[in-house]
Amino acid sequence: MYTIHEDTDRIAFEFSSEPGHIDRVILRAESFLDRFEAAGSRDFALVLRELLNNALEHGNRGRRDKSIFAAIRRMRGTLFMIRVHDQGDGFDHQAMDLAIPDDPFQTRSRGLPLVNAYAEKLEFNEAGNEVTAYMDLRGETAFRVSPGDEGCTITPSGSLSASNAETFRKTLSGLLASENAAFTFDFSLVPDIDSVSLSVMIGFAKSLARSRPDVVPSIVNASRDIVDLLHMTAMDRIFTVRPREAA
Amino acid sequence: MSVLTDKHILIADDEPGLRRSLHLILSQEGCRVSQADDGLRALDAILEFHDTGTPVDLLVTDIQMPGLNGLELIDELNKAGLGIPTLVITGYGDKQTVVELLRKGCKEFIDKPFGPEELVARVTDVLEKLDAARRDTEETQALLEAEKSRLTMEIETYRKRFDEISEQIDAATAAYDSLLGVPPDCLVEAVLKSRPLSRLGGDYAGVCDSPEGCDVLVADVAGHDAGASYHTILIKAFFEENCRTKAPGPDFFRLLNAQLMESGEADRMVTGLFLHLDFGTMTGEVVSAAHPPLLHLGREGGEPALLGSEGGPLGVFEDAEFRSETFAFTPGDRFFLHTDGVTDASFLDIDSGVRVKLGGEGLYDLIGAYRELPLAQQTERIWADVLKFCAKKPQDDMLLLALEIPSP
Repeated sequence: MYTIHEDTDRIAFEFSSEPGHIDRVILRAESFLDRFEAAGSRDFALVLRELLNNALEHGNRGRRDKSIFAAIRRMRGTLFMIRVHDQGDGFDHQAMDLAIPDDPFQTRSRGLPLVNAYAEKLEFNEAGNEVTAYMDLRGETAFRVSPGDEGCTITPSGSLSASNAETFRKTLSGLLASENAAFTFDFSLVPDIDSVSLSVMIGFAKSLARSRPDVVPSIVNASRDIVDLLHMTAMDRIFTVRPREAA
Repeated sequence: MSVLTDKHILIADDEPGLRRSLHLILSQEGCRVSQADDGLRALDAILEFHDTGTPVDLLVTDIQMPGLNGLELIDELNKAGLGIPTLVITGYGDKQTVVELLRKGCKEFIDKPFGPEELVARVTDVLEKLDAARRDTEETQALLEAEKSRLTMEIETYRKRFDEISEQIDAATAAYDSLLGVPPDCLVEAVLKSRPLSRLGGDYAGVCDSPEGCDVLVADVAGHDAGASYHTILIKAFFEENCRTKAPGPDFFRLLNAQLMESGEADRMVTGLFLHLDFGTMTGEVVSAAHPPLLHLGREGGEPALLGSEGGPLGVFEDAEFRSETFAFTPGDRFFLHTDGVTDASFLDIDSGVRVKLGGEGLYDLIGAYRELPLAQQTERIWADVLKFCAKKPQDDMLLLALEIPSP
């Protein structure tokens, strides 16, 4: 048995516990995602597969007369909900440790910790045979560099963290050789910046000060938290900082 | 030696005259020739030759035959899993059959009437093509084998390299783990909780005794890699040296800053908080380098105080200046030092779409909520709540150090 219900923001599946159906569900769910501007579909497929496998193996214990229900719903923007329900007896999710095991070679019980690591939030029903994962599929932060008469503007599309610091560093070192009259970092879309990315910006400002002491880089549209952080780390000595206008 | 030598060819044709002449021509070329006078016998013969280890290399068959015709013979052979190479003798009126044969993938024909040379040429041609195809397959096979063994070797090399690096990481992890930690017999009671984001962290905490009290340092190096851990080792070395030389906090940070500037080719920012506790005068000194402040929780209750909020980061500015703040304390007072990973612990609120951070206020609330518990339990509860807050998914290295001034 394999049925699909689909409308604008939601797709739902009901199918018998056969491994072959899981691939079909994932393929179909991925094409559902394609409708939206969602990146990171590989993480999505991984989480969905893990949840479906769990439902089949541990929930329904492979019994083909038992069904699995799966629904994917877009909540808003790039936030998606995945809900998987099986007809098994459930498990004691309170006792489950969702931290990734420290031993990288331990393969048992990695499934849900892995899902937890990728998902924004993980919820279980009382019985423990329904799990809901929320995922933000906004994808990696991109760095848009736009040249202008007043110099160039660098606009990161999201959080600045260790995971994208290397791309950030390369983007900036590529700009050092340019003849731009000014460098402006537009932080309109940046909710967070970590110390690794701050270090990247410090490195940039220092190199710039050595080669072109007349140019002071600036940061505009920074959130209140980021302005405070730039002040605490004394980075406002080497960048001109302008906070975000209150909405 | 021609390609025909010793090849086993079976002729299936119901015309005895044609069979005989084909036999004669092909035998003269060195072939081993068998004959069958209809399709059914041809099928039996081929199966028997196959079973007795003298398989037929090429079937030369007429189309019109009693029993099984040529087409049916080919079908039966395919069904039996013996799709052997076949040269089909076609005559006038076999057009439709030829189309069908082509559809079955049989491409070799010879049109009646034909002379001995033409027959030999066609048979030679078919057998040569077969040999070439076989050689190709063998060559491809050999190439694939070579590629496979090359890849196997490469994988082996990578695996070895991986094992080596794993060992190094294990060693580095052990070294990092041993960096953190508080001596068990300190003058001050200390409880440390830490959790690196990856296996190697950039957070450091150290406590060491001095004759009049103790020195404490918490530091946070940007990054979660081996480079960060290297800086952590440097910081630990400097801190331990300072415990011996007893330089005042601001001087210690100036020295550390100079050293980090010298070795910091990658501009790694370091934040830190240095705390000196003097049990003789019951006064403390705190120096901050862009680090989150510490929380001073008085034993007698009252408002907790935040200490150490001035000072730029380490490893960034040549001319960095650091100032110390002094304060008084009493026995039973507690101090909580942390890295920003703790207050950056966050979760996404699904309903509003807003990412909620624990923040300083959240941490101070937790510290206050468990203040009646003994230090170790209080710290344990705070730590468990912080991990729960971020669903055990830290955004950064996290470290919390709790201290209590012993009662005399």
